[in-house]
Amino acid sequence: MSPAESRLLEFVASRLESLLRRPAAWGSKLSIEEQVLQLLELRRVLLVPSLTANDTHRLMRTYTRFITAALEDATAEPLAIQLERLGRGAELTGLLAKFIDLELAEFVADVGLATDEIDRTGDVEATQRVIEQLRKEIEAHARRRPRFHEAIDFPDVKQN
Amino acid sequence: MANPKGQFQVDFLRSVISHGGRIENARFSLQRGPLTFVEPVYSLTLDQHGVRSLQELPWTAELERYMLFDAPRKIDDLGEEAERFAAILLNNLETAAAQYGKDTSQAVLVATLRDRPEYDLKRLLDRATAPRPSSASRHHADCTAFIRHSIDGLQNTAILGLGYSSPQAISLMTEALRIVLDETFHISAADMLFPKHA
Repeated sequence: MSPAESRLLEFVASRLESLLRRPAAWGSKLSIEEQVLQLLELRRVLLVPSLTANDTHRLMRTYTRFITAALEDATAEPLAIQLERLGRGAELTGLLAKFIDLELAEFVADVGLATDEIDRTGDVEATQRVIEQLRKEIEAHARRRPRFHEAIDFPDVKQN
Repeated sequence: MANPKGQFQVDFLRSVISHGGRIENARFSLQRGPLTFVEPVYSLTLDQHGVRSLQELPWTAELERYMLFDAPRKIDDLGEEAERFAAILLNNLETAAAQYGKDTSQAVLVATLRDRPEYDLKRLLDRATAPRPSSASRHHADCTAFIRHSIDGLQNTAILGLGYSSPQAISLMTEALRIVLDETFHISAADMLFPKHA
C-alpha cells in the first residue's frame, strides 16, 4: 500500500468517526447517511485496487439487507428518512456505526471468496491490505504503546 | 532517546549479577498471532544464592543490547533464539521505516534477501509484494546499508558474541528472516484467513 493510499484510509477512518461522534457538525441526517456510504465505497476501492467505480453493488446489497433486518416493513428509502418517519431519528448514528463494523466483516469474507472478480495477483495484494487494515483497527482499539525502540547498532566486526 | 523502562531492566540485571546472582535459564517469545502485533518478551530464571525467581521482561532495545553485547547470553531453545533474532530484525526494520519510509525499507529488505541465497527464503520472497522505489537516491543507498548492516551484524554477533557455529548462525538467521518476512507481509495470516488464496 502506498503512503498516499495509507493516508486516504486513515482519512476515511477519521472522517467516519467524526461523522458518528458529531453528526450535527456534518449536516442533515440524510447527508450523514450519504457521506458514510460514500466513505465506505472509497474504503472498498482502497482495499481492493482492482475494484472500479461500478463495483459498489456489494456494498449497497449489504446495506439493504442491514436495513431490512433493522426495521420492520423496511422500504427502499434511505435509512434516515425511514427512521424519521418512525420517530426513531436518534438511532441513526448507532445503526450506521453497526453497519460500518458489519461492512468490514462482510468485506473480509468477500475478499476470501471473490476469486472470479479479482485476478490472482490482486488477491494477494488485497488480502495483505485487508489484514493491514484489520491490524490498524485492532491497534486503534487497543491504543497500544510503540512496540519497538531505537535501532540495535552492531559493531563493525569481520569474521576471520 | 533512552527508554527508562529498558534502562531499569538493565540496571536490575546488572545488580543481580554484581551481587553474585546469575541467569540460569533464558527463554524468549515473540507472542505472535495472525491479527495481533508481536509483543516480544524475555522469560529469565534468575538464581540468587539458591533463591530462584522467574522474571518476564518485555523486549526493549536496552535489554537486548545488554543480552547481546554486555553479558552475551544464548536463549536455551534454538527456535526461541530465532524468534529473538526476528525481534531484533523487526525492530531495526521498523526504525528503517521511520527513517526512510515503509515502502523503501520493505523494498530494500526484499532486494537484499534476494541476493542472499544462503538463507533459502525464495518461497516467502515470491509472496512478498513490495513496491519498487527508485534505487538511484542517497536515501535508498543509506537504507540499503542500514539493513545489510543489521543482517550481517546480527549474524556476526551470533558467531563472535554468542558463540554459535557458522552453520548454526545461518540456520538461526534463516528462521528469523522467515518470521520477519511473514510478519511484514502477513503471509501466514493470509493463508489462515483466506486459505483459498494460499
